Amino acid sequence: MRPYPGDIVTNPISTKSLIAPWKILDLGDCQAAFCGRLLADLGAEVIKVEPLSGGASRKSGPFLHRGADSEDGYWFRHVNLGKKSITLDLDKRSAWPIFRKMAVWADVIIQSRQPEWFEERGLGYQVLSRDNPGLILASITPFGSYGPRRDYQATDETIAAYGGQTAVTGQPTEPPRPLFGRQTYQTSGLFAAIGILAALDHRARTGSGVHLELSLQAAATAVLEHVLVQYNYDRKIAERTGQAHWNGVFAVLPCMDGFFLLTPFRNWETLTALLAAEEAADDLVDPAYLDPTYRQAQRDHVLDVLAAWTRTKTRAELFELGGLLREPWASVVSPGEVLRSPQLQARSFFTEFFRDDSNQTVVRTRLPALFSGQKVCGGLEVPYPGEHNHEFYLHKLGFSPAELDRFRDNGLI
Amino acid sequence: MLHGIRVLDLSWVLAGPYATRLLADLGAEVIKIQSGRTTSSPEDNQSGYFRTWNRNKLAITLDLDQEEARILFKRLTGLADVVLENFSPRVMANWNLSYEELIKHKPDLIMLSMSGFGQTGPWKDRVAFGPTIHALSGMSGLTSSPHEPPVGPGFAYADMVSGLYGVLLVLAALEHRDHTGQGTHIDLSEYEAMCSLLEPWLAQARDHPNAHFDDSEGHPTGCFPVMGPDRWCALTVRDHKQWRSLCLLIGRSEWADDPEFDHPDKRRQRVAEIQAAISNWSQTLPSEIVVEQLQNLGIAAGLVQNADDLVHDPQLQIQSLLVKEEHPDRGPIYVDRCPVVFNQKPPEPLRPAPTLGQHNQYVFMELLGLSEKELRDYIHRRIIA
Repeated sequence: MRPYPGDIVTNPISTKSLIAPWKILDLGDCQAAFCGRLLADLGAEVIKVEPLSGGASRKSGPFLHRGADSEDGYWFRHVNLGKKSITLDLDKRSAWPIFRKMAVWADVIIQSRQPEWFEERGLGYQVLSRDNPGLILASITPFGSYGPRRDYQATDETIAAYGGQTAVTGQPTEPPRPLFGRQTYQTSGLFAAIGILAALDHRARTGSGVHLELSLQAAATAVLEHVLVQYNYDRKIAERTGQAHWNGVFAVLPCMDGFFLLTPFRNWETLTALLAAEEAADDLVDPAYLDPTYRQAQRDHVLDVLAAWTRTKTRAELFELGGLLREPWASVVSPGEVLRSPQLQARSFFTEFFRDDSNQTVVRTRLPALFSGQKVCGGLEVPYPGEHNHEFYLHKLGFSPAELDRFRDNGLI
Repeated sequence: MLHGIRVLDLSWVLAGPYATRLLADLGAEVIKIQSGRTTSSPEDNQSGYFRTWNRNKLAITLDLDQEEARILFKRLTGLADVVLENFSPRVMANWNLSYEELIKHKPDLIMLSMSGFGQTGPWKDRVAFGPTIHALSGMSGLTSSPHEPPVGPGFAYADMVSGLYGVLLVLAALEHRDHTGQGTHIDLSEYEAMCSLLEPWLAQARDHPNAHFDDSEGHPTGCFPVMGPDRWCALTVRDHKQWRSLCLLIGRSEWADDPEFDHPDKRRQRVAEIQAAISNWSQTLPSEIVVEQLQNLGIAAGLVQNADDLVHDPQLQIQSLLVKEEHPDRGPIYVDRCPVVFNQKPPEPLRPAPTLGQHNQYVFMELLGLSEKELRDYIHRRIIA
């Protein structure tokens, strides 16, 4: 029997929403789209406003292999899950009054261009908020709307660099590197979604909308954890330390089937006793090592001895041992191994479902929390460009079918 | 923005305090509760670490190991909107301060429990710090060079991500309460939070288990040496026009129209050559020249900034996102503000982190209504301690 699109293989999604179905127009580019995904997960109605042929990020791989003309990249899916899509060509003058009508209808507009792009079209915040005083406009740009770098081209690679993340990541013997996974786009999506919820709360109490701005670089700087603390209080400029932890607490060591993260110095006597029982302790049982300063000074030797021991163990063995010892130890795993994590499976973190009537399934995650035991997550689908034009322009904005035809003929939608 | 929201903050170390700091920055009244259990080294009110994560908060002391202190806590819960904690899963239950117990005092309470792996599941009692989560989420293995041992992020990124999700979900739960009258117990897993931000590659692993996982937005992309010790610039070439311009800039015009290089996938096969060519050009130039010349060609480029660069960065300064404060005992301290700016308003002054029990009087007498005698008695008997 052929599967039906949306048929679930494992872990049904929830229909529980946390927030009201706020009407959110999402003009964000691929750097700013994650905010809308989060709000869709929480229960908002998020409508992606795209150029007629769909956004450029639909065309960047890697792709799900689902039909010869499929465009969905994994990144595009991740940041657009659960959204609807309409098209509108905002380069055409006759589209601008349509957008003004949309801005009256909307609760929130998310966008990622500089203010003058909208002002030139008579669609600046001043104008839109006169039409709709409760409107919340969220502007997400690489560096904000003013300052010497406001017009700089940016990617996650360069934002992570300007934001201080790259300087402290990587092997000291190699060039520095950013965090994997376009994290600056996602961190800023979290900050923007937080700002929008705070603004909605403010509006509920005061009736007033707000224009909120977020710089991707500032968001990257805001999650640097110890880097500025060390600068301020130890007058130290943090550097990349490779596998050596920035506080000396952790070490990554090789084992039989990969690598393992452990804490060599946290419970010294227990660890060395364990090694001694397996005749693997070398000189580490020497009382001199009971002095923490001495241990740190001998760090390289300590790690050599430990590595000789870990090389005789599998990650699973060490992970179990870490649990028994109540240590923050961890296996270094690959993405495929994460999918098989017993902890994630026990908490139904992944939903696997059929995307269409082939036998291909896709996986999505729910929000990373349970809410009084229940899961919350948004829709299963990523819309094609303009999929919801009919529903939106006719039923939500109130245009007539004849007007809709005219818009199409004029290349507006 | 969040006027009138009161948070009882039982959290300690990083992920929880980061979340409550952001709530405080957004206008919530955050009451941090400290006790013997929490005032160890990272929670020493005088330490730089504590002072960084706990600005804008109020602080009280309560020895929750004592029954009378727990009664006071429950009375405070009746006056609060949110209780936030990041203990290991048994602690609140052992104190008889579980969600089921606290809603007897505040039926529409929002409780956020942040933990490494969640309140349920086979790993729920495992100890986790940021690097633990990096390793188990795949983040360490992915943030690595292919031929080197795994590295991972150079800071506790997972803790910060968990804090951000915590704030987002608390705000969502508050709205839910305003619309339905119902509270929620939010069971947030830092492990799930970090995995959420790797979803594209987890989904790809499901379909293509042996894929080479790639997050690049073009090729070449990466960091290249510039003049000065350990100084680097990052760049990303995103289309063919940029590739051609780069070739001409770095003195490799023969590559500009060479079909061997005309697609990112082809360029990936020649990554070592391309890196060497770019480095040969960039390493003799100051970073400002490298970035300017690349930006003039429409190529995304930027300086790899360390902490010293950050505090002097004119882009952050001009937007008041990294603010210099003069401290009498320490000299200049650079403070990162909440990066969300509302209505271009100048930022409000930040209140310094509290001293131990600094707001006992305000909270226990003004909010809870204890008399001065009662307060002194509780302090004497080390219940408020």
